[in-house]
Amino acid sequence: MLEKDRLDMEALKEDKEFQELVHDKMRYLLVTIVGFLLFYLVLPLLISFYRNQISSFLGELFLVFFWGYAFTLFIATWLLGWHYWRVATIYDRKISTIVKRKIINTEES
Amino acid sequence: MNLTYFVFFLAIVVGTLIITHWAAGRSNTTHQFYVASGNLTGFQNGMAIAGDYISSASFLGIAGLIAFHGYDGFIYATGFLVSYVILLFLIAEPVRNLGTYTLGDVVAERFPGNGMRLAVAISAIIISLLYMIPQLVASGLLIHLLLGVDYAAAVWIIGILMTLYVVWGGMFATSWVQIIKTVLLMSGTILLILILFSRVNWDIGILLDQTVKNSPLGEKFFFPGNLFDSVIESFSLMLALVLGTAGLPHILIRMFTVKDVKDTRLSVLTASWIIGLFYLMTLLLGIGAIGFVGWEELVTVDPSGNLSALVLAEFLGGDFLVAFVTAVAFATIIAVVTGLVFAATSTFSHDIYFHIIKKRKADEQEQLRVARITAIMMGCLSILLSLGMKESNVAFLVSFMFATAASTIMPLLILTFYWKRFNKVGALTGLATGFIAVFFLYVLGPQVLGIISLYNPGIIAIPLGFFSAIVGAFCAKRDNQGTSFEELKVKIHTSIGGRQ
Amino acid sequence: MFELTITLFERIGLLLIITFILTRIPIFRSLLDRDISVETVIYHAFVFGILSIIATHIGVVVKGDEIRFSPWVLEVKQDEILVGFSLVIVMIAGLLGGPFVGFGSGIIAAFYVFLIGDVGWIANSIINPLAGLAAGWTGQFFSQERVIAPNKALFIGIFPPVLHMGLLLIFLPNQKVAIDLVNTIGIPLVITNSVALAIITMMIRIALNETEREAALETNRALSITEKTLPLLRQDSFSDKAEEIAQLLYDELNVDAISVTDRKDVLAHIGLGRDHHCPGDRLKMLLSHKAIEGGEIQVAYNKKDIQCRFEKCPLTTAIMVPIYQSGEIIGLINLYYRHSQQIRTVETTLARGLGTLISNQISGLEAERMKELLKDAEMRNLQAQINPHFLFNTFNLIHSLLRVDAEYARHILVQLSQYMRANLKIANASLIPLHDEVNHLNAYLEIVKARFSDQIEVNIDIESGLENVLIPPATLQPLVENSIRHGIDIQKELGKITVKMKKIDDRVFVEVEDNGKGFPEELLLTIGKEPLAGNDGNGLALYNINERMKGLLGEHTGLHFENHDNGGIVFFELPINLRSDDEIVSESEVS
Repeated sequence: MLEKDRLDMEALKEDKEFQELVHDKMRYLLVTIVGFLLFYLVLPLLISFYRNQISSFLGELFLVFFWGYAFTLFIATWLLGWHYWRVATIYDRKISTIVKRKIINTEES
Repeated sequence: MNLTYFVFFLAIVVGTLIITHWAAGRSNTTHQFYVASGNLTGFQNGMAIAGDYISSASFLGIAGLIAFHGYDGFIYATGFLVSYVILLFLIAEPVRNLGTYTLGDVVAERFPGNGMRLAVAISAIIISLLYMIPQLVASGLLIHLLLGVDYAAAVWIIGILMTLYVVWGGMFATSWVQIIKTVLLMSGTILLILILFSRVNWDIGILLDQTVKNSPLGEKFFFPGNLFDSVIESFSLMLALVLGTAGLPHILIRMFTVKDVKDTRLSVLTASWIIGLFYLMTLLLGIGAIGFVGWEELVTVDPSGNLSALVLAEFLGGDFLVAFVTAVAFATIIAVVTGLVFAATSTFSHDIYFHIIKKRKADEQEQLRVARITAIMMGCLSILLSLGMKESNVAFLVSFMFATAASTIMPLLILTFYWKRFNKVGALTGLATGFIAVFFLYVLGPQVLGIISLYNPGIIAIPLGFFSAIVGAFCAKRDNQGTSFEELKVKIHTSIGGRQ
Repeated sequence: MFELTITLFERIGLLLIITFILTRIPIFRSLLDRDISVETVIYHAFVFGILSIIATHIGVVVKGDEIRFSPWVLEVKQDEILVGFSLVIVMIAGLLGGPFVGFGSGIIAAFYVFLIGDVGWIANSIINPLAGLAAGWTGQFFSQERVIAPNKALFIGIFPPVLHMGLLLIFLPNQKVAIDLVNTIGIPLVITNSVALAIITMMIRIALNETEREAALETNRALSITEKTLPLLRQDSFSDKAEEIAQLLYDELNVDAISVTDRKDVLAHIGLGRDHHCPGDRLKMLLSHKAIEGGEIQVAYNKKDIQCRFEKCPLTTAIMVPIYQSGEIIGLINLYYRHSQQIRTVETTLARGLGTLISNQISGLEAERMKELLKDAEMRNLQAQINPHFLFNTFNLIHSLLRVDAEYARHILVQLSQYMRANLKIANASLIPLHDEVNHLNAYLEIVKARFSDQIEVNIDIESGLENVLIPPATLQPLVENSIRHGIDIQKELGKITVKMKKIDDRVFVEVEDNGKGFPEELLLTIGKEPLAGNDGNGLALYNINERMKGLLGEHTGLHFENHDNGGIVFFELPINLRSDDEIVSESEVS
C-alpha cells in the first residue's frame, strides 16, 4: 500500500465478505484446536479410567496402541501445522483481495 | 579440571563472543536491538525459536526421564511439542500483527493505557525471571560437576556471559547464539545416536532387548504408568504444557523478529519440526542410556537421572565425546537464559521505561542506553535469585512456570484476540487471579505446606485464570475505549493498520 | 596430550609452509580470482584435491597405543589408522571456492583415502566431502567478505574435526580402539586444525590484499588516462586526434606499442615496430577485423595471430579494443606486447575498461553536440510563430478586393505569397541578411497599405552597405506591426512609422519609431522580457523577438523601448556579422 493510499477501515469493517471469511477462518481454527485438545487431553484420561477394560480388549496390541498414540501426536502436530500453512495461505489471498478493493487512492477522490 | 572439557567450554564461549561482536555492529538502532530489524528468515527464526525453547532441562532431563521411566517420559516430551499447534493456530499471527517489540504493545492495541501495559509488563517480567531460575541452577550444577568449579562461581560465569550477549549484541546476538545452539544440539544428538547404533550393529532390536533386561521395570518399561501414578497430576501437567508455550514471553517476542507475518508462520512451523525431531531423538537417547549403559551405572552417577545422556556419551566415546556433549549442553543453557534475559530486558525498557515513565519521549540513543542498563540489572537479579535456589527441583520449576504462563498470559491473549465482550477489568482480574492462584497452590502444595498433594497447579489455576477473566469482564460495563473489536479483527487477520 | 598437540603443530607447520609459498606464486594467486564457471570449479577442486592428498600424508599413523610419525607417511598397514590433515585443505577449498569446490576436492581426498585402505577408511573418506561442503555453505553464508575472517575461521575449524572423531567412533569396528584413539588425538587435532585454518585464511587474505592493491593502482592509471584524453577528444574527433591519443596511451601504459585505427586503416602507431606498422596501412590482422565486426575485445597470443609480414617484428602479442561512438564501432585501439606473459587478467581488464571509458567519452561529446543542434532547432521553432490574425485579415481583404479590383487583389496575393515565402525561411535559417528581412517587411507593408491606405505612412531609411548584416528573420515586421496596432491612433492623424538603420562603430543601430500613443508606462520595463498575453499576440511576438536575438546574437542585443512626446520608439543593436553562416539559405532555393 502506498503512503498516499488510505485503507478505508470503516468500509472494511462493515464488508460482509470480509466478516464471512474471518468467521470461516475462526471456525476452522476453533474446530481443529478443540478436536486436537480432545485428542491430546481427553483420550489419555479415558484410557486411564478404563485402563483395565481396554487392556483386556486389546491384549497384545496394547503396547502398539500406546506407542502409536504417542507417535500420532507427533505426526498430528506436523500434519496440522502443514495443513494450517496451506489453509492460511488461501485465506491470506482471499482477504488481501478484499483489502485491495477497499484501498482508496486519495488522488482519485 | 579436565583439559578436554575446558577446551570445548572455551570454544563455545569464544565462539559466542565472536558472534556477539559481529552482532554488536548491527545493534545501533532500537529496531535492530529489539527485533534484529526483522532480518531473520522464517527458517532461521524457526531455528532460533527451537534454540530458545529446548532447555537443557529437556535435553538432559527428558532423556533421563525416559531412561528411568520409559513411556511416560516420552509423553512428557510430547507435551512440549503439541503446544506448538496452539501457538501456531491461535496466538502467533495475532501477536505479530498487533505488536511491535513486546507483549505490552500487543495488548495495548486493544486496551491502550499505561495501567494495562504495566500489568502485562510485570507479568511478563515475573514469568521470565522465574523461568530463569531453574535454567541457571541446572547450568550451575552442570558446570560444577564437569569443570569442578564452585556452584556459585559457575552461576556467576553463566550469568555474566548471558548479560554480555544481550547488552552488547541485542536481539541479533541472542538469535544467532540460539541458532548455532540448535545446529550444535541437533548435530550432536544425531552423532550420538549414530554412534549408539553402530555399537549395536544397527539393530534396534538388540537395543530394545537390552533395555528390558537392564531396566528395573523390565517389561513394564515400555508401558505407560511408570511416572504418572495420579491421573489428576498427569492431567494437570499435560494441560500446563500444551497451553503454556503460548504464554511464554521469550517465545512470543520471537514472533517479531522476521520480515512479515508469513515468515512468523513459517518460523513457528519450522520450530515445531525441529523440536519434534529433537524429542524423537531424545527417545532414542533415553532408551540408549538404559539399554546400553545399564541401570546401575546411571543411578550411581546421578540418582535423579539428569545426567543419563552424558553417561551414555561417556560409554560411547569416552572423554572427548562427553566433553562435546557437555559443550552442547552448555550452549543450550546459554541460549535459553540469554533469551530470557532479553525478554525481561525488552519488556522493562520498552514497556515500562519508554512508554510509561518517559511517555514515549525518549530518543533512540537513550532507549538503547536504558535497554542495556536494564539487561545488566536483570542479569544480576537472576543470578542472585538462582544463587539461593541451589537445592530446587529443576523439572518441577519448569513445569510450574508453564502452568503459570498458561494461567495468566495465555488466557489474556486468547480472550483479547477472540472475545468481543472482553475488557480491561476482565484482563486485569484474569492476570491477578492467575498469579495468586498459582502462588497459593505452590504454598499449599507439597513443596511448602503439603496440604494439597498437587505438584502442578495447572488443572486448577488454568481454568481459574480463564474463568476469573470472563467473570471480571461481565462485571464491568462494556469497554468502548481503544480499538473496537471489529477494527481489531481487521488488524489481526490482515497485516495492516496495527504496527506502530 | 600436550606433547601430541605440539608435535601435530610441528607437522602442520609443513603444510603452512607449502601454502605460504603457493600464495607467493602468481599462478596460484589467480586461483583467488573468483570466476565461477563449471570449468574453474572443476579446475580448483582438482588443485585443492591434489593439495589435500599431500596433506593426508603429513599426518600421523596410529596403531594401538603407538603413534608413529614418519617424515613422510608412505605405508599404512591394515591395522593402522591414518589421521591426516586433508581436512584443513578441503575446508579452505570450500571457504574460497564455494561448496562445490569443497565437495569436489573432498571427493578426491576421499578416493585417495579409500585407496590407502587403512582401518578407518570409511570415516576418513566421508569426512572430507562433508567438511568441504559444510565449509563452503558456511563461507557463502558469511559472504560479505571475500575471504572469511580468521577469527571466524578459527571457530568454524573446530567442528569438522569433532565430526571426524564422531565418524571414527561410528565406523571403527573395534570399540575400545576407537574410544582410545578419539580420546588421545581428539583435542590436539581440533586445536591444530582450527589454528591452521585460521593461519591459512590469514595468509590468503594478505595475498588478496596485495592483488587488490595492484588492481587499485591499475584503476587509478586508467582513470588518469581518461582524464587526459577528454580534452583531446573535445578538440577534434577520434580520427583526427589519433596520433596524440596513441602517444598518450603509449606514455601512460606499460606497453611496447600502441596503434589507433579506424574501421579500415591504421591511423597512428607509436612504439616498437614503427618502421613497418605505418599510419595509412590497411588493417591486416584477421583479429582486428573480428574485433571491428563483432565489437568484442580480441587477444592475439602469438606471432602467427598478429600476421605481421616483417620477420624481425618484435611484437608477439596484442589486445585489440573496439571503440564505440553512440553504439557504432568507429575504430580500434591496439595494445602490443613483446611477450605473451605480459598479458594477464589485469591487462585485459584494463584494456576493456579503457575501451569503455574512451567510447563513453566520445559518445558523451557527441551527445553534447546533438544538444546544441537541438537547441538550435528550438530556436527555429520560436521563430516560426507567425501571427495568424494577419493571415485571416489578408484573406478577407483579397476576398473583398476580388469583386472590386481584381488586379489589385492579384497584387496583394503576390505580396502575401512573398511574405509567406519569407516566413518559410524563418523555419530554415536562424539568421538572414538584412536585405531579405527588409523585403519581408515591404511585402507586409504592401498588404497593410491595401487595408489602411491613407492612414499609414512608412519610411524606411537604411544606410548603404548594410545589406548583408545578419538579423534574425521576422524581427522588423512584427515591430512595425506592433507600432501599427498600438502606437497609432488611426482615426486622428496620419500614422507615421520610420525605420532607421545606421552603422555605428562595429554595430548596426536599428530603430522603429512611431507617432502614436506610445507604450503604456507601466509596461515599459516588462515588454519583451516576459510574454505578455494580449488578445492579439503581440506581447508574445515582442518576447519572441527578444529571446531569439539574445539567444543568437548575445545577451546585450535585446530590444529597448522608450516613449517620446509624440510616440514610442523601439531600438536595438546588431553586431556586424559578415561571416557567412552555412545555414543561410538564398532566396532561389525556396520556391
